[in-house]
Amino acid sequence: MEEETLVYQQDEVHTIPTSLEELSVAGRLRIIERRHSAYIEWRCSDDESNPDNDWAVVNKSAVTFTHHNSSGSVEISTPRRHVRPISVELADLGSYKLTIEGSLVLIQRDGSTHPALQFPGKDAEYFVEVLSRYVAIKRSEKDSTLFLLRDKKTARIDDQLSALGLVSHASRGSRVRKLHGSSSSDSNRSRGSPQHTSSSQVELHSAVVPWTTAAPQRVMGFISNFRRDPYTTTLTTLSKFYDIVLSEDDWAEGFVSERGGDDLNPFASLSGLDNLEPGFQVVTLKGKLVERPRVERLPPLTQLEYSQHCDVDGGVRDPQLLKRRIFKGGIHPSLRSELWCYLLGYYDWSSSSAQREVRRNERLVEYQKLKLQWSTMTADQELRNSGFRERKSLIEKDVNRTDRSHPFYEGDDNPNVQLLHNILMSYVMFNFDLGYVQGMSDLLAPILYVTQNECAAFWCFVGYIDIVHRNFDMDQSGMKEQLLGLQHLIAVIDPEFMSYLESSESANLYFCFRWLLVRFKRELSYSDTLRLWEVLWSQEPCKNFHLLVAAAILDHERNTIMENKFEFTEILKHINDTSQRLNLEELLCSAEAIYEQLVASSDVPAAVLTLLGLPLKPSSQDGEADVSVGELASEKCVSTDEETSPLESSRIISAGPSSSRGKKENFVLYRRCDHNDDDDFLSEEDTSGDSCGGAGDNNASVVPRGDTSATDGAPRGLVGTVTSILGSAVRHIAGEDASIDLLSPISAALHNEGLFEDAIGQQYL
Amino acid sequence: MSKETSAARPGQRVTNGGGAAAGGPGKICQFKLVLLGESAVGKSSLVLRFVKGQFHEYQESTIGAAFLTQTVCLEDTTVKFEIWDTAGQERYHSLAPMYYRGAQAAIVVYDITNQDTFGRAKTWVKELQRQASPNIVIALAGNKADLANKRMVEYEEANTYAEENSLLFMETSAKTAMNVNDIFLAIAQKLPKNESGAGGSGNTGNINVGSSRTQESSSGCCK
Repeated sequence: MEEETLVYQQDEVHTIPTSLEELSVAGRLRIIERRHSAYIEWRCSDDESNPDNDWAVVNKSAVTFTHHNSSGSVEISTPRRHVRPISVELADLGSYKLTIEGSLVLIQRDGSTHPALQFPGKDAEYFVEVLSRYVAIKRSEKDSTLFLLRDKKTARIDDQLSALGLVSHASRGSRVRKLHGSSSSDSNRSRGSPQHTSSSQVELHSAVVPWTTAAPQRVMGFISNFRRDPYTTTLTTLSKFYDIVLSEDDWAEGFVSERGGDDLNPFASLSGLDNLEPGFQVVTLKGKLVERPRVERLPPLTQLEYSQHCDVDGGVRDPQLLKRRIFKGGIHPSLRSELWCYLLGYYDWSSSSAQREVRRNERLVEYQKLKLQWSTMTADQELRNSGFRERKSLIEKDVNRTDRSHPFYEGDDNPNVQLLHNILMSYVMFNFDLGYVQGMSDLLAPILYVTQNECAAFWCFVGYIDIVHRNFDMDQSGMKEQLLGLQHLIAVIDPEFMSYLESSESANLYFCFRWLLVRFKRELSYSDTLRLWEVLWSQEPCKNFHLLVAAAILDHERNTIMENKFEFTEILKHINDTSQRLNLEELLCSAEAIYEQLVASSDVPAAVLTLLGLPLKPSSQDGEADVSVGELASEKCVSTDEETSPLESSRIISAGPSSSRGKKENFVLYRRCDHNDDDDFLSEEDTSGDSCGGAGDNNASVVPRGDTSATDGAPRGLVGTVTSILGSAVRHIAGEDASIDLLSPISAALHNEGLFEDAIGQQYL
Repeated sequence: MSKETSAARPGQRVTNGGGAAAGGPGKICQFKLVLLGESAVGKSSLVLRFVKGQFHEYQESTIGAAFLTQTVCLEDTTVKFEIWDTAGQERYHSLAPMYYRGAQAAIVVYDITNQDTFGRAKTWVKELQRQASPNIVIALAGNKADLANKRMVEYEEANTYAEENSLLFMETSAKTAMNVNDIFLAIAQKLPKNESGAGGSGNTGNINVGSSRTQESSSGCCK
């Protein structure tokens, strides 16, 4: 038996249900010292008596379930998942989220994210006090509910260093404030903790030091560092510059990288090199997006309301109006089985009751035929039909493990599982080429559950696959396009986050793959999945609304990801762990708000407008500010031909409004593509940006705009690129701040002496 | 007090027969491990058993990929596995290189009750030998060993194949936990642990999927 010391204990700490159908479970939260480590543990109260029972085979839901499906109301209740105990060694705990309502989410350094816990009386003060005996706790400047943990020793060193004033926290803070006001979502708004927000922002505000006072030291520091170690210095500066360039208003606030403490470590700048190498993700907007509006949603469409939409024959008078209504609130469960048939194209909106009756009968005959085709195949026939055998085997494997914890499908020999099988097999006969692909059973199961009718479910499923069939492309091109589309979106609505993702080699957004493939089904509870799907099927208010939903989730997670400095693996783990924990109504509000924001903003790149099916707007002609970024883009392109450049593998994947229209580009997006083409599957096609609703046909390999010297000049590679970028930055800052005198030494160093290129060329390349 | 046979609990280390020093082993190594194999052979179940000590009879299919970590204590070394669990269906094959690139270890899984999955496992082994890091440690796992009455792949057949290809081989059962920890431990032991590389497992060990520096990640094991 290990020796344990109990340091903290709190009973009645509840799990927080994420949906109505889930129950809250009480448990005991403890902090325990064991050997030389401290652990935070939470255990469901029921488990206390038998601590080992959570290791039993888990295959049944733990909670009762009610399901009425007479003609009346359908009350859906899916089982709460097995409540797992939580145990985290403090050394592994990277951060936690704690709201003023006393809800706590523990987030490990490796990205693992635990279910939310609710303190009784909303009071977590003592817990935090005990915790602070072991670790240094620092509140995030961006998200007042996020607290970052550090080892106490490290924290002390950091504090001493920052006391020396090497890093300006102040300017970082003020930058944050601006971002909150513009593109980034203010999590406080949704979390409802205004007190925290205001106090932290006041603190930050009072500490702001004008950039100009610190500038001379910085510049001199740059020059001396540059002479000592041009390579590192330049890349460090560049990486900082790179962060700042994305938000032009913040330029004046100093060369402060987001990466915080890393700035103190000269070798950290080599990770700055890493940041640079994967390629640029540069997006410039002439103007910022307008503020995101507040969006309200409506309650679900009820029978009464629906009947007002119908004419005497039972047809829908104004399908568009009804779809809009469904988008805003979803459908009451009792109406779903009927309305889904319209949304998925099984019924025509205008059809009368009599016509629908005819339709049902026709379709039933058709379905029966398809069903006969596979069900009458003899074993002997199957032997000679490997394509059929293969599809059949895949279906059998998958239906057997689809939603088996849902009461509708649970238990051995559940007849509904057989129905899933029948429908999927019939679909194979309906569309043999597409056949069956993993993920389809996930798309079918909720439809069968709602329609409770094999034939209707089949035809609705056909309609759904018509919408999402590209998800199952053999070469994954449909998925690639969606991920690229999402990249475009994020780059516009949150360039800072996109830049972060790029620097952590996560810009392919591959961690969103599952979201898109099965339309968030694995992330949401059953009832939320049904709600989201009907909202998406309304095809309101624009195309590809599911990408806005994805963007909204990312928007919600961006601070946690960035402040924990998560990289690809941690992000994937964190994102997978947010599964079943999303608040759908909140998400739909933010997704719609992002939509409204994009519609109201004047400088949204064409790629994004096309993606959402919005009309292209003429972009304005001014926009001095983006000149230098244009140069940056141009240089980047030049370097694509440069053999020795580490940037050579970069390609443009998308551009904004085409230069042929004589407009200035306001959107340039780059991605790296590796030589080893297995890098990531997004890199296989140069033109995928186009097909994804990019800027049209002339998205060639030539830089869309920028100063001509860059495009017609000789390739200069990394050195030239870096020089020019820094030069641009310097010129820009000089222009903006009139502090040209302070900065001229840098310009001189870069442009006159050739020192830079020589040094790098001789010593470092 | 703990159950010897079943997997570790969260937060608890899997230890190799009490060899871990009291003050914690000195060296920490981090390895990327990928699971490959036909759909529904039990890849996710093996990981879930190894990492969380759980088993779900109807484990849902993996879409995209899952990533989990687990730590194994050997005599003198702590081995941290970064485990990539992949989707098995052929349609998603094109994504696999993203996962096995830079991996120092792979478990290729087949289902002993299904001969086709063994054939598919051989294809995976070939692909790994051809395209993954040259020094990758490959283990072959014949899963669902609890279903011996439905056996279609003989132990000897698989064992011979494994020997010919220098693979670690075990028959496993995620359901009963048979050989699950053992196969991970065997891999941990076989992985090269450079003397020079001792160090923290903290922030240095991330192997980036998007990275092209395959050589780098494959040669270094201890971070």
